[in-house]
Amino acid sequence: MLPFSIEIRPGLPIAEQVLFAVKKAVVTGQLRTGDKFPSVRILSQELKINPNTAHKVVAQLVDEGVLVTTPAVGSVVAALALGDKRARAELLGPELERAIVEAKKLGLTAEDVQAAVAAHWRKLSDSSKP
Amino acid sequence: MPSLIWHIVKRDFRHLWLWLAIWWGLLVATAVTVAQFIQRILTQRPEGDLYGWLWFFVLVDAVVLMVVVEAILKSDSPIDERAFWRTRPIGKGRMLAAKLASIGLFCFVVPGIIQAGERMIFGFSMGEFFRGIVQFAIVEGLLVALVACAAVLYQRTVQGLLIWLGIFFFFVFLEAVGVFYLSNTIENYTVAAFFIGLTSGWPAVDLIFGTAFVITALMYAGRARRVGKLALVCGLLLVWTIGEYYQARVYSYFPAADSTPRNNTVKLSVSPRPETNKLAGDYLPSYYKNRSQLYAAMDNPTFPELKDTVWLIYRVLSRLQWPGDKSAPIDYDSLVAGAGGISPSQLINAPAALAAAGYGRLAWEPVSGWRDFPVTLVNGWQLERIKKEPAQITAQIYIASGHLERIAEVSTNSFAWQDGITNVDGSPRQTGAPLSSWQDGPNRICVRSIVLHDLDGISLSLDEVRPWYLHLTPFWPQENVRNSGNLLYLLYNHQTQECVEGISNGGNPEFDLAFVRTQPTVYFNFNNKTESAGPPPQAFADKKALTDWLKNTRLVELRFVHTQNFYVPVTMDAYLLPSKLPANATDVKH
Amino acid sequence: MNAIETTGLTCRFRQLEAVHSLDLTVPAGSVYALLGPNGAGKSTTIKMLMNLLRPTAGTARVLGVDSQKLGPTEFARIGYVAETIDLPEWMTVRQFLDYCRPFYKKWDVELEKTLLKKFDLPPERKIKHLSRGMRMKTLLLSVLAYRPDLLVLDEPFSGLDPVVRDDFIRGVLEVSSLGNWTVFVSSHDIEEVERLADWVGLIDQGTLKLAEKLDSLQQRFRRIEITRASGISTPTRKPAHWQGWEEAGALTRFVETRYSSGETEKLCAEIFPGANVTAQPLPLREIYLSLARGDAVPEPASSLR
Repeated sequence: MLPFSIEIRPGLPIAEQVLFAVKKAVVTGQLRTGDKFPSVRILSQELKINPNTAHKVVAQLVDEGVLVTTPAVGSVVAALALGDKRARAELLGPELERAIVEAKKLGLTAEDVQAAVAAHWRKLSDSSKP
Repeated sequence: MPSLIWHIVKRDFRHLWLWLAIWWGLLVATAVTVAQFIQRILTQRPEGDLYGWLWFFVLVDAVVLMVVVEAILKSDSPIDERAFWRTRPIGKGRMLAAKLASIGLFCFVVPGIIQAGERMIFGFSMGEFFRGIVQFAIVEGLLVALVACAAVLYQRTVQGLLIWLGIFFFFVFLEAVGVFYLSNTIENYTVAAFFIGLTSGWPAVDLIFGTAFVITALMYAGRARRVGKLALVCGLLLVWTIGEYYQARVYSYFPAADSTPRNNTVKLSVSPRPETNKLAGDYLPSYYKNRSQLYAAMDNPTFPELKDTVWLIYRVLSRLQWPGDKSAPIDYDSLVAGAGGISPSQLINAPAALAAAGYGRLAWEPVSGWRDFPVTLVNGWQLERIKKEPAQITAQIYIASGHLERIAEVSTNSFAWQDGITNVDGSPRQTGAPLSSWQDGPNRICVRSIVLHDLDGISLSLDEVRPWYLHLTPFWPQENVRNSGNLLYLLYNHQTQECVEGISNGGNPEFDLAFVRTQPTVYFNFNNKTESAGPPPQAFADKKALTDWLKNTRLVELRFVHTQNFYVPVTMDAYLLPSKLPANATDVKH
Repeated sequence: MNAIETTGLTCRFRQLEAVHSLDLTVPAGSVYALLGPNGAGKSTTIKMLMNLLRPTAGTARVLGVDSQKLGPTEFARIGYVAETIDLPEWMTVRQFLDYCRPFYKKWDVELEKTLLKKFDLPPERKIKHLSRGMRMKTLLLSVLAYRPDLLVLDEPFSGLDPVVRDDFIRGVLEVSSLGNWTVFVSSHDIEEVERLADWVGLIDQGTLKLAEKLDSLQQRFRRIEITRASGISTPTRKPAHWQGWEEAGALTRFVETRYSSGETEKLCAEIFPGANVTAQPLPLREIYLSLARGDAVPEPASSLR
């Protein structure tokens, strides 16, 4: 089992999906600083993806500073400023894009969308209250 | 890596062990049957059913061999694109070596060992083991090669069927060539006879190919269910067995001839001669390699003094047995011809000091006083045994000359190894020499005895023919018709028991061929050379002419060739003895 | 170095040309998926590569060696799995593995044990009594245990249930290694292949219609949905690289085979002024269908022929 959530959907490049899932996991705290990141082999076996792809993903994560390779242990989650709201908000990108596309189809304006967001947010927050 | 080859051979064994066990078991059964067969020949019991069994075994062996070879090759087929080994690290050369190793081990080495065991039992020497195995390997090798070729040439059923048909017709073609050759060398041998034989006389050959054909097709079709395949093969074999067995049963051998001598007015007399081992002129006895030489010498003796000598032909039928032995007694014969004055009573009454002599050494010796009669032991075991403990021996001595014959019996309980007996020329005479070759074996152990009867008739019915021999036993095929040269034949029909034709009819299972020659010809001797002597036969206008000629001819040898289904003749010997007595023949008193 | 390279590879059965002048390249270290309909010539191609069939024309090189000269050295590094292989039915699984082992120097007994457990194979059962899935797993085991450099899989998933397929892929990945480990797989089963492949080849009626990196395919294919503005009708001329045109009411759909972010939207705006345009990435299955049905317009730059 992998220490982060991921659901691979067909159609989108797998590498991108994995990158996204890892980054999200780091930001949401699923992957904490210092946690051992699965090896390329385990990544490829668990996700049933091409090891080349897994390798590319890990390389990219290291490049971007999300992971750090240590000699004995392997890849380890790097320290990341969790407080960076901007980074986190960026992760919302694809979802927002989809929502905006749908809104456009429905002929809504940006203000309409914002209002709807606020409304839905309240609903969900309320329902989570005991 | 030779270990890879061995690895594959082991795997093939594990795959086919059941078939191999059945087949090897069959080979052992064949050996046992052969042993029984020979025993029966020796003790003069009818062995017709065994004969059938032997042929059955031989053919089942052949079929199973083909199935085994095919299975070995098919498990790693070189041309099948679905074959497992094709994408595995083993070269085609090495795989072929492995397949050949499997075939060699299962189909040659192990059966060779079984055959060697069989030959050991019959007392062959080491040299003969090798020869026997080589012979066996050659025959098997042909079959194996055929199957291997077919198995590696094709992978689809249709191709397989065509190839097998091709092989079958190739064999028919070979046989046809043989037939054309025969028809050119043997008068009145017609091509029609061959085709008659083809339809009625070849069930076994047809069946080998037919069965293998069907098996192969089914195997390659892969469609027939396993049970169906097995049922078909068993069904075919069963049908064939029944057919073969039936024929073996229907075939009736020459019944034992009537051995009571007929009365006639001419009697035999032999006047006593001085007891000497030599004749006038210090003639030393000669040894003849074969009967034809002997008879030729009898006809044209070197020494004029021997003309008009009364010829006595002695045949000794000796039976060797150890007291308390459960095994059947073995009968032997040997032929000695001699001349000279000895009264048969002397022969009879004098205790026979029996010594063994090698077969084939037919001695013409002056007969007087004591007479040594040769006894041949069948195999090396008996030789060893007789050195340790004396055996019982019973000898029936047939003495014949002219029309008459006498039978005398002598027995002793102390037939012992005789050391130090020498031949006349001083060379040591062996006691209990083992059979020196398989070719000679059956000859040696064939039972033959002769009774003389008058030739008073014109027709050649069985009764006329039969009295010229006492008991004819078929034994192993020694030759085939091709070696016969120019011959005329009598035909003997088993069913009607009549000699009917003057023309040969090769390959017909109902008839025996009889080759009539003016002088006896021995086809087999221990040197494996065929020898013939005498002028070519004459053509006879009809049976009467043949009969007349026979009446006036000395020493005619009748050869009966027994042909069963497989176009393999078996020879039996008979001897016609002179119908004219020498002038000085007189009565013999017992 | 290329694991597999063919030049003008052709195979002719009597009248039928099953494979026609194929130029295929499989780079070392890649996972190459060969897709195509039934009878397209995938199996024939693979059989020629494995020297089970003789090509009528052309050449193929496998692991640097002419395919017709493949010998024990090469086969020790190749693992070939196909449903059509004749396994010795009378052997048990264990006997079969024992039989295979001595052929390979690199046979890893520990790996064999691991895979045997992973695949949940009954070692004492005869092969003829195995289900189809177990047969394939047994064959795969016998091929993975020596860690081949090149795995050639001919329709490995056909007729296998999802559990077995999963086992299969796990097994294959078990021996994966970076660098020189190449997989050449032909399949109908595109979902399974999509995750693993980095190269995709499409073969149809014996010809290689397409050979491209999966990334590149995924980048350039989009399903475009256009909700046309009122008054705008169907354009009479559409770009050749728009395939699978469908229309119903105001909705127009097609597959864009040369997607470029921004450019495509601009083109759509030109042709459908005022329309609502959405572009969705396509799963490989849809890409394949689109290619199989239409004439694929190849992307010259990133494809390997």
